[in-house]
Parts: sequence; C-alpha cells; structure tokens
Amino acid sequence: MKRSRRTKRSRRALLAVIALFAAGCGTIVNGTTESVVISSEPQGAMITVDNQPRGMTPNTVDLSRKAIHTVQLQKPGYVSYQATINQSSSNWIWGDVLLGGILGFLVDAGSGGMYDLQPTEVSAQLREDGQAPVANAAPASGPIVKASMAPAPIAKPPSAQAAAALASDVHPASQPVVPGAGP
Amino acid sequence: MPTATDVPTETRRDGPVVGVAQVRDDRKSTVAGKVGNATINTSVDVDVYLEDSVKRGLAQKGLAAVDAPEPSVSATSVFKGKIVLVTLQSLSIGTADAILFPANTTAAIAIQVYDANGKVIYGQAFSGTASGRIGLHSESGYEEATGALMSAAMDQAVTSAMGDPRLSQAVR
Repeated sequence: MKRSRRTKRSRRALLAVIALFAAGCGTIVNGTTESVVISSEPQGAMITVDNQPRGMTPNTVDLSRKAIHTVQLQKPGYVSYQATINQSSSNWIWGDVLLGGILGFLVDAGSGGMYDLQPTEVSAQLREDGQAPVANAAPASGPIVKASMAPAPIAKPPSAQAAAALASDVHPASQPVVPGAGP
Repeated sequence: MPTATDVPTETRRDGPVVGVAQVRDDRKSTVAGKVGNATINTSVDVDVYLEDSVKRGLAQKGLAAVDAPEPSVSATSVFKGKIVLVTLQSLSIGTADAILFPANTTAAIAIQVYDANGKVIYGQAFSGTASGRIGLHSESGYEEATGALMSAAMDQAVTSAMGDPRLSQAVR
C-alpha cells in the first residue's frame, strides 16, 4: 500500500518536471502574449488590430507573441494611423539552450514565448484629413523633430550609400561577422 | 506664387508649382526595431529621403515641387501656393531571426495638402512594406541592408500615394 503511494508521488513529480521543461523558458517567463499600450491625440480613435476591433484609444491590448500585428487607428475627420508591431527574438531563448533543450525550444516557438513584440507602445498624433468637420481640432502642426533639412536634388536616384545612411546607428551585439554570409 | 527663380533647376517643370514642407516625423522613437541582437536606429536622413521621394513623385506627375514652409505659418509666409505635408507615422523593421527568416519593414505615412489659406484639402494615409533576408554582417553591412529595406518600404508608400487620383486633383 505504502509502495503504491510512493510510486504515484514519484510519477506526479516526474510529470511536473517534464511539464516544466516542456513548457519552455520563454513561455513560462514571458507568457504567450504581450501588452501594448495604444494612445492617440486626440483620444477616442477606434483601434483595430489585424482588422479586428479592439476598443478606443487610450487602451492596452494583449497581443499574441506568435505573429506580427498591424495596428490601425481611425477617427472621423482625421487621417488614419498605422503602425506595425514586429517580433524580435527574446533573450529567454537562451534558457532553452541551457535548460529546455529542443523540446523547450519547440514549445516556445509554437507558443510565441521566444519572441518579444516591438514596440510595446503606440502613440499616434492624428492629423486632419480635410474631409469632415473636426471638433476640438488639434493644432494643424506639431514640432518638427528633424534638426535640419538639406535640400537635395530631386532627380537624385537613391544610392546604396544613401540607403545605408538611413540606418545610422546600428549596434550589432556580439554576433560574429561571417565573410560572404549575406542575405 | 513663387517665381521661376524660386524653383530649383532640378525640379523645374512646366506644370503647376506645389510646395513641399519638411517631413514631420511623428515617431516617438528613432528606434525602428531589432534585427537579431542589433538595435536599428534611424537617422534624420530618413526624413530627408522621404521628402526627396515625394518630390520625385510629384515631379513625375509634371509638377514643380519646391521647398515650402510649414503650412501653419504659411499665412505669414511669402509662399502662397498649395503645400504638401508628409508625416512619417511609423517605420519599423523586425525579424524573428536575422539568419533564418526575412526581416519585415513597414513604413506608414500621412500626406496632407493645404491650400493657400492654410486649410487642409486632402489627407490620406499610405503604407509600404519590404522584406528581405538580412543575414550576418558587420556594422556597415547591417546599415546598408536595413537601410535598403526601409527606403524600399518608404518608396512603396510614396508610390501608392502618387497613384491616388484625389491627391493629383488636390495638388493642382
């Protein structure tokens, strides 16, 4: 009788350990969703995420880590606003490398736990569209973030250098440089 | 209306003159996203690139695109024509894995046209996407690869805008 109880306890403990590893580090720590704060100026814009209505601004929505999401804000009298929430690798993937193994990795990949969403805050300044009367309209202009404007010749074709200059401040972390490894 | 001498040689056309204001950057952060462990920061060149892209698009429509002040202050400005104001709403890049999966880039812009009185007569949002595999690079290689994707996305958004007949009507 005693032996039978011990066996049951051992089995339960074993199942718990398997479940812990099978869940994957990212899924355990991150969860499968991430909260994204969405706001707009003016407030009261209709939020749609992946074409599904998600309330009005300001709001916080939980989005699945498994996919890229498109957030749209719409308010009559204003130009609609769009932002994309992208995935990036979560550092918890290293937990799978150290602890979870292939099983943990597969679980995290399936649940989305191995990803972070970026950005986690969407803040939109809605602009008038000139088609409908706007009550309590926001000022037509806001501060221009740009520090300076260098008039460039319009006929100038985009060059590889110009394209490279757009991403000015890249911080590749500790990734090795592999000669010849390109896209 | 601006005189012919106000029109830069590169943009001079026989068509109507339209002002293009500095691009308004509504993004809260210059960080476009992460590719692998690399954080992609965009520079002010993004705004300049977008402005040039819009000017090229307008020039291809037979318009003379000239530099113009912000529409809100145009009432006191010497520029009395229509002004196109482009707002960069968002610019993002991301990939689940820089080596295994392509990076996805999305650019969202709003284009407004103001009449000579500073009233908005047109407003519409457009977006463009581009995707491509980034791979492993040195720092300059990352800059080139991600910059090419981002500029392609912005160009696609501008091309969509230039295809809108309402915009063509508004700027003339």
